[in-house]
Amino acid sequence: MQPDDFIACLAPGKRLWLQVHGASMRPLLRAGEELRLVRCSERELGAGHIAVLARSDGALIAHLVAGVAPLRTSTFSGTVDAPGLTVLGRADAVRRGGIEFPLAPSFVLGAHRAWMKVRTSTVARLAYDTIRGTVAAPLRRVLLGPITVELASDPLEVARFSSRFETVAPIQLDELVSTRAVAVARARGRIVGMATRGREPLVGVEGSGLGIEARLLAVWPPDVVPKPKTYLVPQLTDVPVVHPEAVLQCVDGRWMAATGDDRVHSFADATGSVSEVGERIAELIDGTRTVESIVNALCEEFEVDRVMCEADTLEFVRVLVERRVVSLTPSRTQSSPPGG
Amino acid sequence: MVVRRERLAAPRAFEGSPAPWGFFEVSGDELQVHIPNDTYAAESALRIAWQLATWRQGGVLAHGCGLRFGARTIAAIGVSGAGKSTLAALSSGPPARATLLSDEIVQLFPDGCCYGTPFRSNAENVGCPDGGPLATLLLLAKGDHERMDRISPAEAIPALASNLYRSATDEVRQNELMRRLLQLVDKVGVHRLTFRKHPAVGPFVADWLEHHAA
Repeated sequence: MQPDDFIACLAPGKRLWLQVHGASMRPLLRAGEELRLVRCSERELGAGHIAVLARSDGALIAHLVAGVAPLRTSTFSGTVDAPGLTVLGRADAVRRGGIEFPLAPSFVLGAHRAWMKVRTSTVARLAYDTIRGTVAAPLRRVLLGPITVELASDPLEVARFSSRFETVAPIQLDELVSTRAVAVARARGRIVGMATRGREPLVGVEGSGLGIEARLLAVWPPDVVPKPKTYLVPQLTDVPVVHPEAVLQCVDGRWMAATGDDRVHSFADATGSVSEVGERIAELIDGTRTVESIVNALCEEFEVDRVMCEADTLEFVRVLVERRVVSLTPSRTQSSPPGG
Repeated sequence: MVVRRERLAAPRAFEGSPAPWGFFEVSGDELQVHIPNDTYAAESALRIAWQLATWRQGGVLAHGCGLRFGARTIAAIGVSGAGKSTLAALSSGPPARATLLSDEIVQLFPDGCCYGTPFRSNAENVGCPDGGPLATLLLLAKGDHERMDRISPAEAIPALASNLYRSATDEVRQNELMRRLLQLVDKVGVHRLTFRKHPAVGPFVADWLEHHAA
């Protein structure tokens, strides 16, 4: 039985605690916290409620109710959900660090508006970052006390912590812990971060910004230390080739790329409109053409200004390099710092 | 592919399976395993053997339910709980009586073919190593009536990719598995089958295949 099936069996008004995963409702809700679901129908939802919904694949999401009749839900940052979600109930409280906080619609709406202001106003954003940097992290440091890093010994404790991160793949914790391949950062007796050999560290919100990642990574140098980013600036003489870990292919008449980080990229913008020129560039990346010869082909096929076309193509190739869809011929690449 | 049980010098552990753990080594066409006396561990070893054999034949192994309606085959791909076993049970029984290839794991090939495997999630859903050209790939959704909607590759491929078996060995690179999947999607397309827990889904799929599938 899936979680959504189980919740659907609950009578109206019944309550159930659920754990939060992901980051779509940050900073209001954070991974690892618990939400109290109250079973209710779509008619009982109003603006400012946090709706608990099931996707068609059975996955649960908790998103802000942005409008009703028809129901419209969104992330805390305002990205509206596609239709087709099933309402299971609403969240009326969150449990953070063992303390319950009510989620009153007026408070949620106020927090949402303030957050949108922070995201869209430079001044507000600056003020938010300053407060976070000067108040939140030092306060967290005081509250958590000394942080120690050690090799993990209890697989169950590690499993409980890692379950807060939905991106964690199934790992053989018994095996990893017994071979001393898991390091944990601990504060006041509780795990606040962990790293598994060869994987990026996972740090809970309570420990974020305190440099725990660096201390965890230092346990196994150098294989888990991320390489510094090299910012590639494509030149017209460069030859873009499909990245060795990627595949670039035409599927059902549309060009798509799958990259080594398990992402699938299409050449569509946020509205779903496909860039004809972008797809043509993808088609022209055959491992022999330079960026300049791709620009030549585009200028012949489309009515574009050559200077603009060069700039746009170089930028497009830069994005493809950044996303590891293509790489550039090493002998012709040039490194420079960001913005250089 | 031969599966042999013995003690191993430099074994790799089975991935993603609950304890008791098993370990394996690959040597040519031989899969050597060190496993406890446990049916789950034995099945995990056979899954790895099936995975290697499928990869070496140019295909991919996916969490999916394969069904053949007459000459037309479908493969519904999805995680546990997506509805694969329900679809299998409802379609292979009356009135549709489709041939069940597997309700758990299917072999998929870039030329558009799908074959069953001996693995099953439900003791009653017994599949067969049969198959043929796919009419379409399916993703499953629950609903209050049956419907079939074409979905774009951009939407479907992440869902399909997350259900590929991939981690047993390094002999096939991840991008090669994705290339095979993208070729398959290009060949047969992907639809979303929305259905309720009702025997009507079998005749609905059979009718859709009869009238709409290419």
